[in-house]
Amino acid sequence: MAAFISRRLISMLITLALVSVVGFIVINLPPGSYLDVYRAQLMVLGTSTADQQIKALEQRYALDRPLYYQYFKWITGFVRGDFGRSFQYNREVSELVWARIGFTVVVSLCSLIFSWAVAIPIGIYSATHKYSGADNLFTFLSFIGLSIPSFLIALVLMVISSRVFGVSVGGLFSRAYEHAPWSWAKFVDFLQHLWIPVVVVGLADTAGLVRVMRGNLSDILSMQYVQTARAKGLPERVVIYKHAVRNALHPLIMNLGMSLPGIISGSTVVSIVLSLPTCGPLYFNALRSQDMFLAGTFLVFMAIMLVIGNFLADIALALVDPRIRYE
Amino acid sequence: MRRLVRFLTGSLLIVLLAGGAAFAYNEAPMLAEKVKAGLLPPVEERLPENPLVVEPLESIGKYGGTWVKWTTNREWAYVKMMMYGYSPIRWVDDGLGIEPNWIESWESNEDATVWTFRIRKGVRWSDGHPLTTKDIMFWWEDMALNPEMSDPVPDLFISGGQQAVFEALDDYTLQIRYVAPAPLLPERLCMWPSGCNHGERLIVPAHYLKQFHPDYSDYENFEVFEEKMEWWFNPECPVLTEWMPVEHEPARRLVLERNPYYYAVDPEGNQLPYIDRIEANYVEDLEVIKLKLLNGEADMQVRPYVALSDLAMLKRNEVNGGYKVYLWDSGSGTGPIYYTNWNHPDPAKQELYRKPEFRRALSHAINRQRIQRMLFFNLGEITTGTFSPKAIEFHRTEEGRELYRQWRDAYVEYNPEKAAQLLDSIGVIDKDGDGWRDFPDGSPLSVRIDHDAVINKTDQQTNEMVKADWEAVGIRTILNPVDSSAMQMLDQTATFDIRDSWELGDGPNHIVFPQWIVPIDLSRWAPLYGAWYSVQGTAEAELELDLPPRDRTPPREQPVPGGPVDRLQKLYDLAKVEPDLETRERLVFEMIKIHIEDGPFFIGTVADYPRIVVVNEKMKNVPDEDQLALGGFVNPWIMVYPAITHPATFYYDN
Amino acid sequence: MADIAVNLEPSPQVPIDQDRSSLTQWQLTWRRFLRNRLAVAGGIILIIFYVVMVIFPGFFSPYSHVVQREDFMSAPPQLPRWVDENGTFHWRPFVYGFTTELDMEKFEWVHTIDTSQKYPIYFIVRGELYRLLGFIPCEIHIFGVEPPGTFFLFGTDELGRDLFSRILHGGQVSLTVGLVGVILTIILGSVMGTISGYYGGIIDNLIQRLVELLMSFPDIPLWAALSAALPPEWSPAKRFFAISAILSLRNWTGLARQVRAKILAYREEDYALAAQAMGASDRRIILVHLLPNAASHIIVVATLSIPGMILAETALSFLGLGIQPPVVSWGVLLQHAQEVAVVLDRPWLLLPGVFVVLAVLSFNFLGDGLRDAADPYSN
Repeated sequence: MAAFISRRLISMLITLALVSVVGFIVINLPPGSYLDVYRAQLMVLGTSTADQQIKALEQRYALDRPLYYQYFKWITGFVRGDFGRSFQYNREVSELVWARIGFTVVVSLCSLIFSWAVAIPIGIYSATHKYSGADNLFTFLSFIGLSIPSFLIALVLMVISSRVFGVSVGGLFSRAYEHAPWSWAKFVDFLQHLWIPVVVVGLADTAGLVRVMRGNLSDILSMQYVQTARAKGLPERVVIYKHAVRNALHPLIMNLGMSLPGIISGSTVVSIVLSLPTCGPLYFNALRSQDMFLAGTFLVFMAIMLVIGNFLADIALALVDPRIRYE
Repeated sequence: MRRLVRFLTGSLLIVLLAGGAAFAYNEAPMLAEKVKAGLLPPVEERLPENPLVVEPLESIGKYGGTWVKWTTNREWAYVKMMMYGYSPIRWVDDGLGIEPNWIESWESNEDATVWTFRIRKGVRWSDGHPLTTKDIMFWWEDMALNPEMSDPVPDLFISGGQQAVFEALDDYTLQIRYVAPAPLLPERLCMWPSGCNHGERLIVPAHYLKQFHPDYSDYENFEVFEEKMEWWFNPECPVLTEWMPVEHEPARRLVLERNPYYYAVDPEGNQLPYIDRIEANYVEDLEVIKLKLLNGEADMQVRPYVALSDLAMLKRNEVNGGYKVYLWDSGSGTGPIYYTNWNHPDPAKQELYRKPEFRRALSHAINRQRIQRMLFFNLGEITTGTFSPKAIEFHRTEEGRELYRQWRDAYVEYNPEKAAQLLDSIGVIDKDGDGWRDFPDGSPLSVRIDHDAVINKTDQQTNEMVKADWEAVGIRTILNPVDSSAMQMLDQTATFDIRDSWELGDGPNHIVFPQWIVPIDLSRWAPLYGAWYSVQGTAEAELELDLPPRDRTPPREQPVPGGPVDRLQKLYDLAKVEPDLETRERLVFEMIKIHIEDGPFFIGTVADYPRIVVVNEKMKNVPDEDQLALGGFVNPWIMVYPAITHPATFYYDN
Repeated sequence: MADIAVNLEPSPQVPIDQDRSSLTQWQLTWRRFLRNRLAVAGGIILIIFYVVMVIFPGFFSPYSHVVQREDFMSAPPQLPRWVDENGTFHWRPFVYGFTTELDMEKFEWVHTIDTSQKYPIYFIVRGELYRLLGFIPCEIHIFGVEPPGTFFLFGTDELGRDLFSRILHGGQVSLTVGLVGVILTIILGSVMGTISGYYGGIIDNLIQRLVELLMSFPDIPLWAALSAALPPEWSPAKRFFAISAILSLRNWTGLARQVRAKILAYREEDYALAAQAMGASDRRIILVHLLPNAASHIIVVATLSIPGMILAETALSFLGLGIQPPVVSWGVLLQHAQEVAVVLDRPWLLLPGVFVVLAVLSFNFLGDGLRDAADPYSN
């Protein structure tokens, strides 16, 4: 087991290193640099002093050095927790990133938990009551959930929440609670804001999980050992939960790794619509302004979340299924 | 009239003070507490000897309240535009006049080459330190004149090709001496307040910044200095504004509290501002802000701009949301604007664009009534594209008013037949029968509207309508969305085709910010000629003349002698050093006439459309459009809305 | 957009005599497919979509999708009726006209239905000019009303453009992006997967690393970064293909993995070993023996990934990084509808979302049906 883990860790690190290189290159693909964007902004203000400032900024940000120099400076800083400097905000990237990554993890995790908490019971019900009215309804809803663009639902839900329920929208807290210490009221406020992103991001995943759960479970339910268990006279509930569901969970855990990309990137788009303090909005703006260290750091962190998630899923799978450990 | 009242009240105060009358100032309760606790000196010691007196619009206000704002600008630019305190002098009455701010008075000699400014005695920075000419000289000598610091010498301190000389006659008197007249210096000191625009400063808190300056400290370069100087990101930096930053979370929120040393009072001696705090919250998406407006969660918003298409929704919800919607004039001279590249890299296109018939055809082909109807609810006025209708030259005299009308109506008529005739007359006809007009020599012609990829809805829709209009007269039009940095390159290398860009909103007078009317730098409609002008009088002017224009740094080209740009530049040269108001105005009129006779150099659509302002109904002293001198002049950055409406006098009436 | 693990083990193809009493593998598959009604429904919907939107959008749209009409801005949908205000039944459906007024108090355009204006709907009419199949000028539309009547089935947008026509033309782009992207995915995925599985060793390792690398990027952020790099002066067509290519850039990894697994399995099968022993070239083995067996699998996976591409295109266009106006796609239409005022006042502008859902649903049902049909033992 230990060997398995260490092997995976090493390959994880290699992958992440490569991710950082590719990500950095991709972010710097658009012609020009942040300074061009900045100059465009100055132009709008009509300042006559653009050239001099640009030169000074170029030196300050070492933008006159070649790209690989920039990359090395940046990546070696990772160890120290120094992720470079954001041009737009004129401060360290680390200041901007930590809080947002925290919230991204929270939203992603909650979406994951939500989708599992909803999908598994529904999937079990569907499998055990195959082709019933409820099953058909759930199947239908699952498919719809898989098909709707998330940003659309986000907007509609946000408008409903605001106009019909009068809840303040945008962000993860109302203004009153944003800087207040944690309390029950603040927690409730947090939930009131959290439910939309969690539902929207988790929706597609929930739908997929329901179908997989249903499929796998009904497979297993028709298998020999289940019939045997029934023949032995075990109560149906025991048959289902103790024997069938347990085995159906294997492929589900395997799927966990596959859910993560969808959840992480889904949350980036939804965060823009809902103005959440997560990675997404900042990342897309950084892309547009070619704020390369900020964008690069976000991309790498999102990849890290993905890779770690997969890693944890692999470990969970290895724990459950010994065959994997010897791959 | 209002100015007269203000002047009288101010004088009355001075008289009373001078007479040593026991005139008590009042202060906000939150400050009174601090005074009691010994944390602040009493209000008489915090205000200057002769404070600025600001008269509230309707009533004397009550202290208290938090002003909640939502913004999509990460540099808090919209917050800065709410405050005028940093500016030495301020615009008033929509730009019709200027008045002292922390500078008490000024005078010049006859030919406006020597200016003397007097600072109010006793004005202090927000940390209590006195403001003196030392702060100005520190900026001038240790920043602007320092070649290692990125702050350049701003254009307003250059006249006759030479830098001015600054001299501090004493702690409160500054003298600026030029070699050539600089008649508009005070007006130019009104622009860009609050350090709104990088680099064009006059003053910084020297006592605070010295500790970060390489010449006075251990720091090796200006990196930390420049970071500390940005007071809207750095709450430690002392300021002169009405409210001072106390808490900053990058890209989340900025909290400002009243500046206990703000140097203005109302006519009854109450220290301003009335409102205690401002809370500006950053939000990613404009739609979220709209929902907050509908819910009444914002107190007073001008920016980010909400499009007129949302006006119905906002008005419908006024009662529920507890707010009112005002419509302040934008003062835009053009609305969505289109200008051809006078220095187009392709010689055939350049020749075509320089033909006035072509540009006039483009203008006559546009159905502005339709644009006005569909996008602006028939508000504003259709225009060929002019300087802002609020500009002072268009109001002072009947001649000015008439000239505005002439310019506005010069090529505004929607007449596709006339457009077709004009195109036919210069040989732009469809030679190969593909349905599109071609160059006179037969090669295929198409025009490309280069615009920002991230564009607001109104501009996007206007682009599509203009494209339809131009194609209706046979000119193939391509809409080309361009990302910021790539757009920058198109601008810097003067390779754009037809640009749709930020509108012409500038004012209040044609000379303080003339970039649109006469090319003087790389921006706007004649970039290479403008760049040429910008290096005249510097060392670079004589260099690189053997290189082709586009290979020079900056790329520049000498305007054709006697051509419209050359004539405009020569007129500008005369105007900017002309001390006499009427002569200066005459020169401006000459420049406008060139635009009318040889233009249009830029094409406008709908001018002076309204901007939506949402105001919490509990907030008082906020003017509506009828109470503004010219009905509003929101668009230009140099005009500083809403700061010019005295937000320091807004208050909550609970 | 969750990827579903596909569990597919078709049996190798064994030629059977064309006896009436026995059916070929493909015929069996087809029959099984037909029994799945949802899949068939999906298939039919898709055929309709592709014919109506991709091939003949001009004919099926009553109007041009670019013409702006200042008298009909933000008009609500006009529904066809058969019974008029007096209760009379008409065989030929008609629509009511409406009058438009600008309310300067409320700052909105008010459209009131005017029952005195009745416009019967005619079929196969002459209308605005368009280009059939892109180059044949044609004026015939499938339905329409006589001017000055209007028939905006789904209402109009803020510039008075007919939404129904825009949805059809937008579908042309969105459905094609998906298709092109999937074709690229199939090619890339099959080739890489096959090479990886067949040759093994270092090549396999390298390709696997590459796959892992690409899969470590969250998709939308990666697509966003790549789209931001597209040169702005590219024509809409070029940009379109670039977007499809970018979308498939990450998609091929999933298919490659699956193909690799299949090839690995088949490589050891008897018939493959036999072919090798007989001296068949690698290429022959791959193309003639291994790939055809994986073909059905490839098709299924490909079909199931089209929905993802369509949704990705809408997301990218929503972010302003995909298809740009003035080209119309469902993503662009939804981006225009992404406003509070739309949800509250002009909700019909959200209808393109319904079409996205329909298209994605149909692809999902179709893919599911194909998979179930190809493998009778999976359920």
